[in-house]
Amino acid sequence: MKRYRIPIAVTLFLLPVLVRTVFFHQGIFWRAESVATPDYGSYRIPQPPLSTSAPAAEAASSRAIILLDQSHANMFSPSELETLTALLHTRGARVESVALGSYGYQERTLADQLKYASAYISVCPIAAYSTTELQLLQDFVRRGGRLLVLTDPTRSAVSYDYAGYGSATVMADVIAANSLLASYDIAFVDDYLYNMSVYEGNYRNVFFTDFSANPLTKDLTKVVLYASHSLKTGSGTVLIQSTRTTKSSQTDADGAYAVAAVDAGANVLAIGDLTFLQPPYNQVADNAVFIRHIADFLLEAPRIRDLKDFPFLFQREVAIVPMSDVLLTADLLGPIQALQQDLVGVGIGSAMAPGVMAGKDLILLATFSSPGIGDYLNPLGIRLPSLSSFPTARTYPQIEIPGFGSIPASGIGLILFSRGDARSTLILLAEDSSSLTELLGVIGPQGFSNCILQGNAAVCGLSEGYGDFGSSWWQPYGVESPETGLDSTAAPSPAG
Amino acid sequence: MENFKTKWLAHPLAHPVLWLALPLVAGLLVSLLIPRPIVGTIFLRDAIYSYSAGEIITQFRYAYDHPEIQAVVVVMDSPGGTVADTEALYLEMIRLREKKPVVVSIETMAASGAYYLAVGADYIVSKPSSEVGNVGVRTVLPSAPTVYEDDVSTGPYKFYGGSRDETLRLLDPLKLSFYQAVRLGRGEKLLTTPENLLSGKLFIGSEALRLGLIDALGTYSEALEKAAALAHVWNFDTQDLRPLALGTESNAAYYGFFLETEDGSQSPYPRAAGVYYLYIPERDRRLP
Repeated sequence: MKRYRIPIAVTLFLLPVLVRTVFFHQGIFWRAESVATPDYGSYRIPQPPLSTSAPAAEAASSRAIILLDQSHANMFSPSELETLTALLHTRGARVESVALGSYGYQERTLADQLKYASAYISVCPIAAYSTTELQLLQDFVRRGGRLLVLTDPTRSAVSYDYAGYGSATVMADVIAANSLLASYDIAFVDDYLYNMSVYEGNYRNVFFTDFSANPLTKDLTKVVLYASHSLKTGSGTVLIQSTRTTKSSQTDADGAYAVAAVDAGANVLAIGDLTFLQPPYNQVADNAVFIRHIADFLLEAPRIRDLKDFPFLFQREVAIVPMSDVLLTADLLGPIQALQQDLVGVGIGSAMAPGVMAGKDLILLATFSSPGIGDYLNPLGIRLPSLSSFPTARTYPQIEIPGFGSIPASGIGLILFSRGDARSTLILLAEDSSSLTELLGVIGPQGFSNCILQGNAAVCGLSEGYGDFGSSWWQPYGVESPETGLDSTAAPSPAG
Repeated sequence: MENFKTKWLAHPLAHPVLWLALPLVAGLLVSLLIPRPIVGTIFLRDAIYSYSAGEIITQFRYAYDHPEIQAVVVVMDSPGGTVADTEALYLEMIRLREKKPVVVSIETMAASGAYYLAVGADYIVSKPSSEVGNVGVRTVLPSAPTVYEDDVSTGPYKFYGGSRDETLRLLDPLKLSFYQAVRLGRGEKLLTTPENLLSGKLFIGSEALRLGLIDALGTYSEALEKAAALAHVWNFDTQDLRPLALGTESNAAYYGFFLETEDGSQSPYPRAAGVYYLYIPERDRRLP
């Protein structure tokens, strides 16, 4: 027994230690491998793709006036468009603001400004366009004016309910923009596009490589838009659309989303991003080339000026030429001077001249019986009656004007306009010098009063004559078209 | 030698009872030196910023240095916080985890930086309705640089820290490191796509479990038991590490992270501009 005392003592000594150890511990915690952490040093700040240099701007060649809307609570600063406006200025164009003046009234009406403008830019509008404004802009586009609508998902306006729970109401810019685009079958979606796998620095900066063939997308291989609305169009042409891995915030669904489109007439351009116009993003990938194309789009507006645009019809100095049978009486000189003042108001000088002058536009004062007037009217399709026989009240000679029909040549005056490469011509035509004086009186800086305008012809009621204007003389035919059918490019001349 | 042995066994102290009792008593006394294992608890019930992170790092270090603390449970209710403080906490947690298991128990929320921290643990437990995730980075872009007459600096970005574009691009590597932390922490357990994870969504606990963002739905008690199991201990004590590490029960000195509104209430928006792993409820974010 004695020989086991020591082992027993040792055992008894260790027993409580073991019991307590086992009471608390089932085993030993051992981590076989060290815990890995991110390789922080391996991450790099992403850099944008190199810029494709845009061709150098051409020398000043345009006298276009581009209107920039700032009257619809537009969520942008003009400085954000400097890249684009600088291109326009370089090319000789002028950018003019459509802004609200004091007390919210426009200092010049939109109707006036559209008369001389070539293009209208609307950027992130929040306030609604009125029905009148929409009609004016539609008419502007119909006559070749160009409309650029830029929206941006980052430019929504937010209003807060301070009185209640502080809830926020977001007013997206697409609502007003879509009212502008509704006539052209283009609509922005109130979303933003993003791509979680392939992006330019941030998920909302999306690469676009799918372009349709169009002058606006010429030479583009890659464009980056920095948070962009998508848009939809039916009859228009999608210019730029995303790859299939791009998502819309509205649905979080993959798809090929359009971000830029032109309408069927190619006069309305809608783009869902504003940021790409601004430095440094204008210099990423092919953005500079795209911006250059947008400037071309605005400058190359096939703007057709017609009588509605009076007094902005002329591009150069005007010669006012009375035909030989027109007597420059004191009564006539007053209205002529008023007409000259209207032209001075729009920067056009004018002078009386005995005949057509090379390099000058023309205002012709004539009567129905002016010798040689037919040479000016025949190219326009207007037929004057022979006035050799004295007319009776009901059988008064009729004037045929395309689009108007036959009109008794009594108590009326005609204002006709045609544009040619050599000159633009405005013809003021009435029964005699006295009627011509009255006809000049209907012309004012705001346009024509007491006249029916269709395209480049206006028929104006004068007080003298047999018929009452707007009743007995009116025998319309072929009025389906709002245009007169006058060839506005025909250049009438004494030679025919 | 034989003589000495004989004499010793004949000594009264060599009585058989003493031979049994003395080693046993000595063994009992020595066994008392073996401490009862402690599963320490660290509470993160604030945003992660310099002050809160400093306190928690002190507790991590305490747990690291004290062998009786066999495991740690981090109880979270946090929307996240600054990037740098989140990374500091995460790396300190990883250091502790090399030595002792760490379990995270999510109460109401472990969003953004808090989830970054959570993925550094061995095991994540949350309530079924806890809000988990919001993986991503946020910041406010600086103003475009300008110069002032009286307030001068030695470089164009001295006032701003960088250009707007650079600041935006800065977020990408931070996002990627966040994602890698999640990948490393969750490993094969992560069952969702990178795109879904990086979308910044908050998931409720039950959904987070399905996607592999957490390990189990459960309570704080279950988290303690899990921590103990990972440490291979039982019959353990639990201990709030704050008073042990900091000598204080509560956060008496409060250095506000969040902006206070005019009426004195706390907004969820941070006081200072910066780069954050932080979730801010949208309605409040829009308040000026």
